[in-house]
Amino acid sequence: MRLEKCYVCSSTVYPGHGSMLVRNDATCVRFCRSKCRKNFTMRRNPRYMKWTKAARKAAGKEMVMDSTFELQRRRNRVMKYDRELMSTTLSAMKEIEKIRGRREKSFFKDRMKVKAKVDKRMALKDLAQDLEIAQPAVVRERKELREASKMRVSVQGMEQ
Amino acid sequence: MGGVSKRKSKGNNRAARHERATRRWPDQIRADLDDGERARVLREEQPVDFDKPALGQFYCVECDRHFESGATLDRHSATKKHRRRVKELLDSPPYTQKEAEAAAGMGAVDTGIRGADME
Repeated sequence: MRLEKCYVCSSTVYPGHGSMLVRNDATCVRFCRSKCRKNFTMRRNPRYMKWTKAARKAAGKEMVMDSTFELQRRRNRVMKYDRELMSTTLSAMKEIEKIRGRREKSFFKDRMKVKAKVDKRMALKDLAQDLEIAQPAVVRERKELREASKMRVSVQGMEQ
Repeated sequence: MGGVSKRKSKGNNRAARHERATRRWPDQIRADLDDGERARVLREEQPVDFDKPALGQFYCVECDRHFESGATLDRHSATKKHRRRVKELLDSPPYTQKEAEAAAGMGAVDTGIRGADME
Protein backbone atom coordinates (compact mmCIF):
# COMPACT_ATOMS: atom_id res chain seq x y z
CA MET A 1 0.00 0.00 0.00
CA ARG A 2 1.45 3.33 -1.03
CA LEU A 3 0.32 6.51 0.67
CA GLU A 4 0.67 9.55 -1.55
CA LYS A 5 0.80 13.22 -0.61
CA CYS A 6 -1.58 15.82 -1.96
CA TYR A 7 0.06 18.30 -4.34
CA VAL A 8 -1.74 21.26 -2.81
CA CYS A 9 -2.23 20.67 0.91
CA SER A 10 0.36 17.89 1.49
CA SER A 11 -2.12 15.71 3.33
CA THR A 12 -1.98 11.95 2.96
CA VAL A 13 -3.96 10.45 0.08
CA TYR A 14 -5.07 6.91 0.86
CA PRO A 15 -5.69 4.35 -1.89
CA GLY A 16 -9.10 4.81 -3.46
CA HIS A 17 -9.32 8.46 -2.42
CA GLY A 18 -8.75 11.72 -4.25
CA SER A 19 -7.68 12.00 -7.86
CA MET A 20 -4.55 12.06 -9.95
CA LEU A 21 -3.67 14.19 -12.93
CA VAL A 22 -1.10 12.95 -15.41
CA ARG A 23 0.41 15.68 -17.52
CA ASN A 24 1.37 15.09 -21.14
CA ASP A 25 5.00 14.73 -20.05
CA ALA A 26 4.00 11.97 -17.58
CA THR A 27 4.37 14.16 -14.47
CA CYS A 28 1.89 12.92 -11.87
CA VAL A 29 0.03 15.31 -9.62
CA ARG A 30 -2.16 14.01 -6.81
CA PHE A 31 -5.07 15.63 -5.02
CA CYS A 32 -6.78 14.62 -1.80
CA ARG A 33 -10.16 16.26 -2.55
CA SER A 34 -11.93 18.44 -5.06
CA LYS A 35 -11.00 21.60 -3.14
CA CYS A 36 -7.33 20.96 -3.83
CA ARG A 37 -7.90 19.95 -7.44
CA LYS A 38 -9.94 23.08 -8.12
CA ASN A 39 -7.27 25.30 -6.62
CA PHE A 40 -4.74 23.60 -8.85
CA THR A 41 -6.92 24.08 -11.94
CA MET A 42 -7.14 27.77 -11.07
CA ARG A 43 -3.34 27.75 -11.30
CA ARG A 44 -2.77 28.91 -7.77
CA ASN A 45 0.58 28.35 -6.18
CA PRO A 46 0.24 26.30 -2.97
CA ARG A 47 3.15 28.27 -1.57
CA TYR A 48 0.92 31.36 -1.40
CA MET A 49 -2.23 29.71 -0.05
CA LYS A 50 -2.13 30.16 3.69
CA TRP A 51 -3.90 26.93 4.58
CA THR A 52 -1.38 24.60 2.90
CA LYS A 53 1.57 22.90 4.54
CA ALA A 54 3.91 24.25 1.87
CA ALA A 55 2.88 27.82 2.71
CA ARG A 56 3.45 27.29 6.41
CA LYS A 57 6.91 25.93 5.76
CA ALA A 58 7.75 28.64 3.24
CA ALA A 59 6.72 31.26 5.81
CA GLY A 60 8.95 29.71 8.46
CA LYS A 61 6.05 28.67 10.67
CA GLU A 62 7.13 25.05 10.78
CA MET A 63 10.33 23.08 10.99
CA VAL A 64 11.82 22.63 7.50
CA MET A 65 15.18 20.91 7.84
CA ASP A 66 15.42 18.05 10.27
CA SER A 67 17.02 14.65 10.33
CA THR A 68 13.72 13.06 11.42
CA PHE A 69 12.31 13.79 7.96
CA GLU A 70 14.67 11.16 6.58
CA LEU A 71 12.51 8.27 7.77
CA GLN A 72 9.45 8.80 5.65
CA ARG A 73 10.52 8.41 2.02
CA ARG A 74 9.19 7.05 -1.20
CA ARG A 75 11.14 3.83 -1.56
CA ASN A 76 11.52 2.77 -5.16
CA ARG A 77 13.20 -0.52 -4.50
CA VAL A 78 12.18 -4.06 -3.81
CA MET A 79 12.61 -5.30 -0.26
CA LYS A 80 12.32 -8.89 0.73
CA TYR A 81 10.02 -9.36 3.71
CA ASP A 82 11.97 -9.64 6.91
CA ARG A 83 10.07 -10.02 10.15
CA GLU A 84 12.88 -8.67 12.30
CA LEU A 85 13.40 -5.62 10.08
CA MET A 86 9.67 -5.01 10.20
CA SER A 87 9.57 -4.97 14.01
CA THR A 88 12.65 -2.76 14.32
CA THR A 89 11.18 -0.34 11.77
CA LEU A 90 7.91 -0.15 13.68
CA SER A 91 9.66 0.58 16.95
CA ALA A 92 11.94 3.10 15.23
CA MET A 93 8.90 4.86 13.79
CA LYS A 94 7.47 5.36 17.25
CA GLU A 95 10.77 6.59 18.61
CA ILE A 96 11.40 8.99 15.74
CA GLU A 97 7.86 10.32 16.01
CA LYS A 98 8.56 11.15 19.66
CA ILE A 99 11.81 12.92 18.83
CA ARG A 100 10.11 14.88 16.07
CA GLY A 101 7.31 15.95 18.38
CA ARG A 102 9.87 17.21 20.89
CA ARG A 103 11.75 19.16 18.26
CA GLU A 104 8.59 20.66 16.83
CA LYS A 105 7.58 21.77 20.29
CA SER A 106 10.89 23.50 20.90
CA PHE A 107 10.75 25.06 17.43
CA PHE A 108 7.31 26.46 18.24
CA LYS A 109 8.55 27.77 21.57
CA ASP A 110 11.46 29.56 19.91
CA ARG A 111 9.12 31.08 17.35
CA MET A 112 6.74 32.28 20.03
CA LYS A 113 9.55 33.92 21.98
CA VAL A 114 9.96 36.42 19.17
CA LYS A 115 6.20 36.80 18.89
CA ALA A 116 5.83 37.87 22.52
CA LYS A 117 8.37 40.63 21.97
CA VAL A 118 6.70 41.83 18.78
CA ASP A 119 3.28 41.77 20.41
CA LYS A 120 4.53 43.84 23.33
CA ARG A 121 6.12 46.38 21.02
CA MET A 122 2.94 46.69 18.98
CA ALA A 123 0.81 47.04 22.11
CA LEU A 124 3.06 49.81 23.44
CA LYS A 125 2.83 51.57 20.08
CA ASP A 126 -0.94 51.31 20.10
CA LEU A 127 -1.03 52.70 23.63
CA ALA A 128 1.13 55.64 22.67
CA GLN A 129 -0.89 56.43 19.57
CA ASP A 130 -4.47 55.72 20.56
CA LEU A 131 -4.74 56.14 24.29
CA GLU A 132 -8.50 56.62 23.98
CA ILE A 133 -8.99 53.02 22.93
CA ALA A 134 -7.44 51.90 26.18
CA GLN A 135 -9.80 54.05 28.24
CA PRO A 136 -12.92 52.34 29.60
CA ALA A 137 -16.12 52.98 27.68
CA VAL A 138 -17.68 54.90 30.58
CA VAL A 139 -14.91 57.48 30.63
CA ARG A 140 -15.12 57.90 26.90
CA GLU A 141 -18.89 58.36 27.01
CA ARG A 142 -18.67 60.97 29.73
CA LYS A 143 -16.03 62.83 27.77
CA GLU A 144 -18.18 62.78 24.65
CA LEU A 145 -21.19 64.03 26.61
CA ARG A 146 -19.15 66.84 28.07
CA GLU A 147 -17.93 67.89 24.65
CA ALA A 148 -21.44 67.71 23.21
CA SER A 149 -22.82 69.93 25.98
CA LYS A 150 -20.01 72.41 25.41
CA MET A 151 -20.93 72.51 21.75
CA ARG A 152 -24.57 73.16 22.59
CA VAL A 153 -23.63 75.99 24.90
CA SER A 154 -21.41 77.59 22.30
CA VAL A 155 -24.12 77.29 19.63
CA GLN A 156 -26.61 78.92 21.99
CA GLY A 157 -24.14 81.68 22.70
CA MET A 158 -23.76 82.35 19.02
CA GLU A 159 -27.53 82.55 18.52
CA GLN A 160 -27.86 85.12 21.25
CA MET B 1 -21.77 45.86 -15.29
CA GLY B 2 -24.24 44.51 -12.76
CA GLY B 3 -27.43 42.60 -13.36
CA VAL B 4 -27.91 38.87 -13.51
CA SER B 5 -25.03 37.15 -15.23
CA LYS B 6 -25.78 34.79 -18.05
CA ARG B 7 -25.57 31.13 -17.20
CA LYS B 8 -22.52 29.40 -18.56
CA SER B 9 -23.13 27.29 -21.61
CA LYS B 10 -23.68 23.61 -20.98
CA GLY B 11 -21.75 20.85 -22.66
CA ASN B 12 -18.18 19.79 -22.27
CA ASN B 13 -16.61 22.94 -23.76
CA ARG B 14 -13.81 21.24 -25.65
CA ALA B 15 -11.91 24.38 -26.52
CA ALA B 16 -11.57 25.45 -22.89
CA ARG B 17 -10.61 21.95 -21.86
CA HIS B 18 -8.00 21.77 -24.58
CA GLU B 19 -6.60 25.11 -23.53
CA ARG B 20 -6.42 24.01 -19.89
CA ALA B 21 -4.65 20.81 -20.85
CA THR B 22 -2.10 22.39 -23.18
CA ARG B 23 -1.22 25.52 -21.24
CA ARG B 24 2.30 25.32 -19.96
CA TRP B 25 3.10 24.97 -16.28
CA PRO B 26 5.56 27.18 -14.42
CA ASP B 27 8.11 24.38 -14.13
CA GLN B 28 7.98 23.76 -17.90
CA ILE B 29 8.39 27.47 -18.60
CA ARG B 30 11.25 27.69 -16.15
CA ALA B 31 12.97 24.77 -17.91
CA ASP B 32 12.54 26.57 -21.25
CA LEU B 33 14.00 29.78 -19.85
CA ASP B 34 16.93 27.99 -18.25
CA ASP B 35 17.72 26.37 -21.57
CA GLY B 36 18.26 29.58 -23.55
CA GLU B 37 18.09 27.90 -26.95
CA ARG B 38 14.62 26.49 -26.27
CA ALA B 39 13.35 29.89 -25.19
CA ARG B 40 14.81 31.48 -28.32
CA VAL B 41 13.13 28.92 -30.60
CA LEU B 42 9.80 29.52 -28.82
CA ARG B 43 10.18 33.27 -29.25
CA GLU B 44 11.50 33.44 -32.79
CA GLU B 45 10.69 30.26 -34.62
CA GLN B 46 7.04 29.67 -33.84
CA PRO B 47 5.39 27.43 -36.45
CA VAL B 48 2.61 29.06 -38.50
CA ASP B 49 -0.67 28.17 -36.82
CA PHE B 50 -3.92 29.44 -38.35
CA ASP B 51 -5.81 28.95 -35.09
CA LYS B 52 -3.62 31.35 -33.13
CA PRO B 53 -3.57 35.14 -33.14
CA ALA B 54 -1.30 36.48 -35.92
CA LEU B 55 -0.57 32.87 -36.95
CA GLY B 56 1.18 32.40 -33.61
CA GLN B 57 4.09 34.63 -34.55
CA PHE B 58 4.14 36.90 -31.50
CA TYR B 59 4.62 34.77 -28.42
CA CYS B 60 5.43 35.58 -24.81
CA VAL B 61 7.34 32.64 -23.37
CA GLU B 62 6.91 33.61 -19.71
CA CYS B 63 3.14 34.04 -19.85
CA ASP B 64 2.50 31.40 -22.55
CA ARG B 65 0.40 33.80 -24.60
CA HIS B 66 0.13 34.73 -28.27
CA PHE B 67 -0.38 38.31 -29.43
CA GLU B 68 -1.75 40.06 -32.51
CA SER B 69 1.34 42.10 -33.28
CA GLY B 70 4.78 43.10 -32.12
CA ALA B 71 3.34 46.29 -30.67
CA THR B 72 0.83 44.47 -28.48
CA LEU B 73 3.52 42.06 -27.39
CA ASP B 74 5.73 44.99 -26.39
CA ARG B 75 2.88 46.61 -24.55
CA HIS B 76 2.24 43.33 -22.74
CA SER B 77 5.90 43.03 -21.76
CA ALA B 78 5.65 46.37 -20.00
CA THR B 79 2.61 45.42 -17.92
CA LYS B 80 2.82 44.75 -14.23
CA LYS B 81 1.23 41.34 -14.70
CA HIS B 82 4.00 40.21 -17.04
CA ARG B 83 6.80 41.65 -14.94
CA ARG B 84 5.41 40.03 -11.80
CA ARG B 85 5.25 36.71 -13.56
CA VAL B 86 8.83 36.97 -14.78
CA LYS B 87 10.01 37.84 -11.29
CA GLU B 88 8.10 34.93 -9.80
CA LEU B 89 9.51 32.55 -12.41
CA LEU B 90 13.10 33.60 -11.98
CA ASP B 91 13.29 34.32 -8.26
CA SER B 92 11.88 31.14 -6.75
CA PRO B 93 12.06 27.54 -7.92
CA PRO B 94 8.76 26.35 -9.43
CA TYR B 95 6.44 24.46 -7.12
CA THR B 96 6.40 20.70 -7.67
CA GLN B 97 5.01 17.55 -6.11
CA LYS B 98 8.41 17.14 -4.50
CA GLU B 99 7.95 20.33 -2.51
CA ALA B 100 4.49 19.16 -1.43
CA GLU B 101 6.03 15.93 -0.17
CA ALA B 102 8.83 17.76 1.62
CA ALA B 103 6.24 19.98 3.29
CA ALA B 104 4.51 16.83 4.53
CA GLY B 105 7.76 15.75 6.19
CA MET B 106 8.97 13.31 3.56
CA GLY B 107 12.58 12.89 2.55
CA ALA B 108 14.02 12.39 -0.91
CA VAL B 109 13.17 9.32 -2.99
CA ASP B 110 15.06 6.20 -1.91
CA THR B 111 16.10 4.29 -5.02
CA GLY B 112 18.59 2.06 -3.29
CA ILE B 113 21.39 3.62 -5.33
CA ARG B 114 23.98 5.39 -3.25
CA GLY B 115 24.12 9.12 -3.96
CA ALA B 116 20.95 9.07 -6.04
CA ASP B 117 19.02 10.94 -3.37
CA MET B 118 21.41 13.86 -3.56
CA GLU B 119 19.91 15.17 -6.83
